Amino acid sequence: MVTQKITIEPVTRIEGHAKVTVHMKDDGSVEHAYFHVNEFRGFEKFCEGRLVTEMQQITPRICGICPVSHHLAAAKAGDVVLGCPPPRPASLLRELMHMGQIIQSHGMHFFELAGPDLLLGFDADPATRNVVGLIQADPDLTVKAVRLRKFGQSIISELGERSIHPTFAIPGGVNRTLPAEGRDRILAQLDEQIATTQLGIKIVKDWMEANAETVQKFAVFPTGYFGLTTPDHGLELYDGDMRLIGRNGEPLETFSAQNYLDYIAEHVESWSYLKFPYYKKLGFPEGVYRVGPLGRINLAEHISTPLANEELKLFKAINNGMPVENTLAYHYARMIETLFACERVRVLLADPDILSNDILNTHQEPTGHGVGVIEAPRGTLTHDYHADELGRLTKVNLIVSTGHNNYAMSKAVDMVAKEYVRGPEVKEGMLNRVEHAIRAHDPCLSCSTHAFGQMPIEISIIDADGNLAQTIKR
Amino acid sequence: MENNRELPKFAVLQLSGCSGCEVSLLNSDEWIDNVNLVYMPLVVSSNKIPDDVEVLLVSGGVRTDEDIHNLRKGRSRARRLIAVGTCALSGGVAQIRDDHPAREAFLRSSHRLRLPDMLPHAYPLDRFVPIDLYLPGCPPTPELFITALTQAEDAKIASIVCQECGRKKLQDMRPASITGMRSGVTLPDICLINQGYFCVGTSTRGGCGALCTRPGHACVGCRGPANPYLYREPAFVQDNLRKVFRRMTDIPEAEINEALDSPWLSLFLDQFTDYTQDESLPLRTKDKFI
Repeated sequence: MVTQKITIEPVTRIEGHAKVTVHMKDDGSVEHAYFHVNEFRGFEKFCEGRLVTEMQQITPRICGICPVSHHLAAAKAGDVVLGCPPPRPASLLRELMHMGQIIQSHGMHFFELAGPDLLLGFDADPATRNVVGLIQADPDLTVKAVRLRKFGQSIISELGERSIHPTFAIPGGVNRTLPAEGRDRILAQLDEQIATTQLGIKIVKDWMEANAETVQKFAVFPTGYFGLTTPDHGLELYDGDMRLIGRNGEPLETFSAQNYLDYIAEHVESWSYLKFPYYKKLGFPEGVYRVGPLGRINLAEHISTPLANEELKLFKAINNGMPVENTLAYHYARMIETLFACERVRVLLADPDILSNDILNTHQEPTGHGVGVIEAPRGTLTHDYHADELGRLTKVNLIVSTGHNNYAMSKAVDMVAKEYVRGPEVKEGMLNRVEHAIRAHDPCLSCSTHAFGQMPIEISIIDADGNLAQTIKR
Repeated sequence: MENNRELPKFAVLQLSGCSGCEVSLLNSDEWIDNVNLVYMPLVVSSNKIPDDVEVLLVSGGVRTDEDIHNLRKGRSRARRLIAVGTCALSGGVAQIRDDHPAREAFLRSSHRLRLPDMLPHAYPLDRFVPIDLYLPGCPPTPELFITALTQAEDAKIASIVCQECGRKKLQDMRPASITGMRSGVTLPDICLINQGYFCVGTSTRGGCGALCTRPGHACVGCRGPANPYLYREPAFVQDNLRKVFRRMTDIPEAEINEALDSPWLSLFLDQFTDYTQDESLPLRTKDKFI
């Protein structure tokens, strides 16, 4: 019997609005904990009727933390809708901007959002368990962390000027070249930022070693893993096919983003505005999977840059080559990706095409439909547009990263609450662990609650006693 | 920027928005040395706004009944309230085609237990609480945030973006169409309108340092209308822009009109001015804008 309900609201150090309710039994144990996403903005509907060429400016406003992801996914969808594939230099420049975004978003999350829990402790005073407390505890590290985030932002603004809601990519390419001085400004900072990232990797590995018991007790559960892939199953963040592996690492599907609706469907629960995507063939909840750093690093068989690839081998050794199921391993995976992004910046800047003036394809052969996909910092982001002959959108479907992780976050919240929350005197540190179960995934809830969606939906109707009364499929 | 300005004890409340304003605030170097930030869920672990806040920054529009509740509660705890960003001033991007069917279809799709109720629109803050200062921008620059927090009274804000841009307007360089964006490169020092861009900096409030136009991106009007247009209807702003393009270009009237229907105007300039037509809202006087 539920005798007490504890509400954590707002969940802090995440993007957007969420709350957790912990339902307690009278013996002081947890009956169930729910992760509620309680915001909704309705982007898909109000984008209908807009021009496809406007979408790369409108959709970044979904999220100010990873606006570049929406900016680029919209441009990529526009490339297909208008039939104007970008010239190679434009794709390189877009990818460069994307790497800046990965660095700034991952850097901000690791050091400023999740870091205080790891570095100061889950039970530290909440008044100082934040970046300000971090400055007091380790000013040198904090300054480095801030510089890492700024480095990512500076790559974005080198290209799109505004680091938040940039103006850069357009269907067919980009609207600005990279001058040699811009390239050199980025290059000059690169060694320092790689060192900071390696320091972050050391911090997370030392922490995982020192807290091995916590890592094993903190929301460890099997799922599939999902993300973009290179043709030979390497880590890919900018462009490629979608790939899904099962809970034991077995390959399930590889498919073009243009056909995602054949493979993915969404499930709805009454206690969240956020839907639950799953792999159609296995159904819900058997077909749930994780995305973002943990999903991608479990998915990747190798990484194209040397330092990150060495680190990947160490990561794979944690579970003898099988997928790593620990929620707290998200932090490690995130820093490996940051290292890859820094190294990838060097590869892109060394490409002779990066300074080219051939940045826009103005020849259009409109197709009326296109899907743009990218690995946003938090996972796979899909923009799907249908347009009429004037380029006005008739239908918009946005599948955002955080949605894919909804099941995982809900599961992690419940598991961590059952593991750590004990009544009758519930301590703040216990609840902070529950918050961290969400935080580790680095959710972006503004992103994920943009829409009500047009994908197949399965609805469970629960009666007043909490029993399943009816299931409706669309 | 000087580093010795003392920030007041302040809090940041985010309603229905994107966190872009918060990230912009974080991009200013000054906040990080300062422990006076007492509430900001994005980075601070406090679950509640303290009772004695000097300044409350509120971003995002009012989209749910919970937003109204949090806004009113926040207002009651702060001495001064600053509305920041486009969403707080106009409802924001969620307002550009605020569609009841979208909401209804979603609500129909399952019954929504324990979730806040949607309002029929995304509203600006001043429909619900008095505002001491408006800080428009999508998002406002870090410098503007610090100015609003520390010296709003005697801040000098450029009236239009052109003042800060520094690009020269030429008499004899008249584009015949709006194709600037397609060329891929811009000439330095020459006005973007001369180069065939649909730039609306001539009607847009300055203070942003012209951070888009200086490197060659057309102004999209995110700071909203300049003071002369604050109380004017959208058509007045559009007419003014039409005159600018007639005077400076040979672009056909039809093409100008089509551009006037562009996303920038509906996203920013039109939205702000739309709200001046709503008689239930308090008049936003220019002395309250930064």
